[in-house]
Amino acid sequence: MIRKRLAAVVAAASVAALVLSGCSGGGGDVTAQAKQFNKNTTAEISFAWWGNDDRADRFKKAISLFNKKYPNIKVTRNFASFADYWTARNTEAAGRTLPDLMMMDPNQLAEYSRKHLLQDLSPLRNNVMPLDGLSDSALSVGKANGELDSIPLGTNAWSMMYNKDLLDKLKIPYPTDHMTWSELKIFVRKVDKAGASAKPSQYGSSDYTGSLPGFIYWRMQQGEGVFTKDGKPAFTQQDVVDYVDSVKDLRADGSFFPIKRNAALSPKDGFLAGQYALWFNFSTTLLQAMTDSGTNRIGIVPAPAPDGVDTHVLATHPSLLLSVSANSQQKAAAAALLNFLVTSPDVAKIFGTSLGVPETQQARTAAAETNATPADKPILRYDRYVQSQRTPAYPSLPAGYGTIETKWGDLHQQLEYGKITSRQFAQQLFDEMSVSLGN
Amino acid sequence: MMTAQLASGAQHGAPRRRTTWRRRRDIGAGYAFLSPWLIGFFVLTAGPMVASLVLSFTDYDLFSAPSPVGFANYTRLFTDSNYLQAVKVTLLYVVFGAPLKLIVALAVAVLLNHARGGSGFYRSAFYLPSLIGGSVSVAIVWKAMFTDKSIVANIGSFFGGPPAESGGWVGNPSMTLPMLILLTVWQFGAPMIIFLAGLKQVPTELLESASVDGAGPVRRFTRITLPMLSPVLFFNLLLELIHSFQVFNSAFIISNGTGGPVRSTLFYTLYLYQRGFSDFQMGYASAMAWVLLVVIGLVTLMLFRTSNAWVHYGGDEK
Repeated sequence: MIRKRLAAVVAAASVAALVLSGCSGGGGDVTAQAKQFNKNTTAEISFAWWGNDDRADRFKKAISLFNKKYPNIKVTRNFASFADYWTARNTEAAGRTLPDLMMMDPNQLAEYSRKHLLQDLSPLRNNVMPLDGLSDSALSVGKANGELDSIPLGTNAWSMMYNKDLLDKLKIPYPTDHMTWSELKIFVRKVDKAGASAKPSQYGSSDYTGSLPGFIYWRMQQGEGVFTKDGKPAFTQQDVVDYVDSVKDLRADGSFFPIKRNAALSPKDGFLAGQYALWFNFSTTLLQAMTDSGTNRIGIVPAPAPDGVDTHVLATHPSLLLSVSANSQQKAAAAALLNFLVTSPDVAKIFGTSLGVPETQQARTAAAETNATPADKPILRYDRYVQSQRTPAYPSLPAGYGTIETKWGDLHQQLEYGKITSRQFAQQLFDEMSVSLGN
Repeated sequence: MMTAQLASGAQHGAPRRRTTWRRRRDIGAGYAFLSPWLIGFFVLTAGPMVASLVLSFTDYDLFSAPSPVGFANYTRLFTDSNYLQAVKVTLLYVVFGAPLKLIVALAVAVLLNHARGGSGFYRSAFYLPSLIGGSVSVAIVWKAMFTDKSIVANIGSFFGGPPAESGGWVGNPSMTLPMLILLTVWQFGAPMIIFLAGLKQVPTELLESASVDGAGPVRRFTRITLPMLSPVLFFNLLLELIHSFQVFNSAFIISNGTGGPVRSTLFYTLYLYQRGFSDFQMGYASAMAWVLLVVIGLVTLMLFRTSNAWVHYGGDEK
């Protein structure tokens, strides 16, 4: 009797769960929506992104322009800091309640795509989302698992930024476009020496082997790959050891900005606090560097090249992307907003290069004419320089890449605190990759 | 006999039915009033608990269907260096944080119990940190107080410590846990108020007669006050231990959710959160949650078992 009742309860619960999951997931029929969509379509969609209040104000302006074109699409906006954004999206993903349109990180794209959380946008190209002016190579970065799951808002490239105020104060000439890694070491020591008497003491750089993108560019400079086509590492533990040990001398003699001070400043950074001169990051972060460090006098040049090599490896990389969620009931309306944000020159006038260098020539020209942010001119100049260099493409990032990048940062912190050796660093990185990348 | 019973039943049947009906109606009304809590308990507490127990035996990434893995999640705990670090950090916090907080709370309560004037003001002032202690803003302020070039770093440097520009306590892995323990000790207001209520119950005539018999203040405290306060002490200790095992907010804010620097603030619940919501290893996170529940249960049981030896209730023969 009890068993029968239990079975009945379990059956009822299963039916309820199925009904609920049916209600929450699935999404609308994309082909039918694409056919029926027009400028007067009525819809209500949600759009989420990460960023600060300034970005939120710009999106507000961009959406009001969109509403002039599509007056019956109501857009509910939602934004958060990067970390909070992903906590919220991951929780929503579990319940299949992701926003209709969402900002996507290149590091997360493969993971979200593998879990079938994103809508393949190909069926929407003809009627709703023509993406005029976008090149095939631009579109290719949003492809994952054979589907068009994301569209880049812009591009950026790895770079070396420097604080002109700090270097002027220490009477040190700025770094140049054509430095080598050996010359960089000399530069760092020179700044350290000059900044030793400052209060607090100022440094040339933090340990620049601390991020995975730096390693990727370093591998590309050697003419080597990073990930295989099936998403496995194309490097050995020894390659990792060689890379982090390439600055062993600077680390050992305390030439880098102390990790203790950097940890205390987190989530800010010693560079943003005006305490060291050089910062390695993607070029889109130039505006953040200017805003957070309180000076627009931040220069940008390519990261150094290996000794004896006179060309740089400067492959562009998608800065930010937009995706329509698979659970969206209003995919066509979400795709229309996506198309507008990516291609409209008016949107480029609002954002400048703060979402990356716009993908279409028209939008790039509009951004260059407007100078919406103080970072636009140097970023566009840097982009022209990058385009003039012949370099290999930035590698496709496998599912699980985001976890590996975080792990690299954690392990590097332990290395800098002297808790692990470079060999243990490599060993533990490979242990994590065997779980996250499924080696 | 049977006939008599039947007859009696027939005779009293109507009023009994009425009583039973009324009783059932009362019970129904009782459950109706309880239903908001009952629904909340089963849907939001008991249901998820059972679900997490089931999930702890599966590999579940939130997106795909869970696949059974037996005890693999539980056995993995013993080989996961981050998990062992989280256990170590949490145990240190529990062992040092909870007793220190209670000692400070008791000491201040004793002082306030003897205060002649302004005790109301001090009681409120000391209780205030408990009200705001768990908040994000306090953790942020705490971080600012102990970071590079902060007030604490400057004071330390003045007294011969490391220079104020060397990362402060926040950047120094050996000092981050003491910093978080200090934060919890500073929030001693709630146990202090409970201690103060307990102290008011200690009969003054007992203390006075002990004084007449020649007992000094220390002897009066250890032989009279403390034993009479032991039920309150037991209650406070139990609550603080359970809270300490579950600490999350302060470490999350101060380390920006990383448990750093170098895993020095990687508390159990923080690591559980990372595994569940950053790495999507919900099965593993569920196993961690159940181990924590069992450990807290065992600690509570142990406290109750040992309480016979040191907790003295009114009317006790011991």
